[in-house]
Amino acid sequence: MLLIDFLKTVKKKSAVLFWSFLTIIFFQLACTFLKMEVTPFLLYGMYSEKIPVQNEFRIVEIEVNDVPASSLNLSGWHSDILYTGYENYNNMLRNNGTDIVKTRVEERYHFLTRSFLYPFLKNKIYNSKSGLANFSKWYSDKFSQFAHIDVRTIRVYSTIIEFDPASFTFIKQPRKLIATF
Amino acid sequence: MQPSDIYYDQLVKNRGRLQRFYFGAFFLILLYKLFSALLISQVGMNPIEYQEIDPTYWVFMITGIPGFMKGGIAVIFDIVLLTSCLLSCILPRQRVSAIIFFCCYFLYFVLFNMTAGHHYANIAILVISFAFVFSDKLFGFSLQFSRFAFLFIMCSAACWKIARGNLFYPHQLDRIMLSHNLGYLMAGYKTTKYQLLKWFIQHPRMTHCIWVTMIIMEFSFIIGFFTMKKDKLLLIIYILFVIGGYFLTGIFALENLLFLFILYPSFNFISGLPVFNNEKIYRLQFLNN
Repeated sequence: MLLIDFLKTVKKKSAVLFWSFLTIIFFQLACTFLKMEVTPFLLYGMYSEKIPVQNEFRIVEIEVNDVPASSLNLSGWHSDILYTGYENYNNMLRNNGTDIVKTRVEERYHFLTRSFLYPFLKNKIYNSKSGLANFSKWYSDKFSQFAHIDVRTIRVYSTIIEFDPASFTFIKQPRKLIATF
Repeated sequence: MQPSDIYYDQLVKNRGRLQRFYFGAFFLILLYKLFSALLISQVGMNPIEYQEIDPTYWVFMITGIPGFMKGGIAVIFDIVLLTSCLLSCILPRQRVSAIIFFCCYFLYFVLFNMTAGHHYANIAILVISFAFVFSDKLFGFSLQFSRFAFLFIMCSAACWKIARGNLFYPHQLDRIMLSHNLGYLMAGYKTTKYQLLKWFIQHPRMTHCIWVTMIIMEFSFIIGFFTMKKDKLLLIIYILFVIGGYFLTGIFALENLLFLFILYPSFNFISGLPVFNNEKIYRLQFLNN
């Protein structure tokens, strides 16, 4: 096997490099089996979770100065940053201003929350409510910068789209205003 | 002589050319990011930092690095990132700038994901630049190790899908196609792309066959752990995989295209380019010194 031959050759030339490579392999495999990301040891399981067959989709529509954001010629990256940024803000807002990572850690990782380090960690690793307060300005600034416009208002709407597979049509339900910046 | 030994020797002999080529490619990608306003000083740190359950991101939060990355410091950081990349390209017989670039790019990778609100796995620059951190003596091994890392990424992606029972789930790809192209499909432009998407979504069996083929394509990268003789085939598979992924699902990662250049035939191609002449590089180094 090429990988084994490679490692044998590395061992002959440099023991330090050999053990470094083995450590990297060990960490990558350990992270994969424990389903835990410790960057740069990532999990490559994207799109591996089954997507349920559903014909209703909730989408977010953003209007800047009463103009749909989709018509502002935002690049793919900028669009992703702005839409995902809003989703993360909204998740934290709906979680009573508590970072959802904190909620998940405290629900699932009791070994961590019981450790003596946790009181120190919890003050450092989670977003605080001040993050929510500062988000509006950052968000407006980014829209202004990415779309090259002066932003007066940003309105975020939530809409349900119903998909009819037989006729291949999409029916949009009335949208609801969920946030303004 | 084993094929890997030949490969190793060639890698060491051609480090200058490879460093020029790879860092030239990295620099082009960074220029694209610069002109797309995607560098740290341009994006600015999001007040809600996306750390997820990843201890590396937690270390960033604890040390307060994202808080420092604003104003002049962020601009200096971006200049160092770009300059170290350019220096590694134009002065390929030294590795100090390559080490600086690797560290800066790692910071950039984490900080960008924190501010973008998603942990993107566009890891090719990080994996390939890691090889150039090492001295000439060890460079051949480190670049080969990067090749194995790429093979692992592809195989691992297939294994996740197989382990989660996704291989025999008939609706995965049509659901991805639908959700990723919802806006486009709703707009109802009667283009070829629209017709193709509509046809695939309405024919889930056919779409499932493509999904299975894509998983097999990913899994086929396991061959690379046994031999390098099939690297040409893997290169073609990767190109088809990227094109297929882009047209069917809209998923495209520019950085990860660089993995094409970590396979053996690409390496031959890079080495054979007349513009990357070692003697010329040595002369340039001599003149600069």
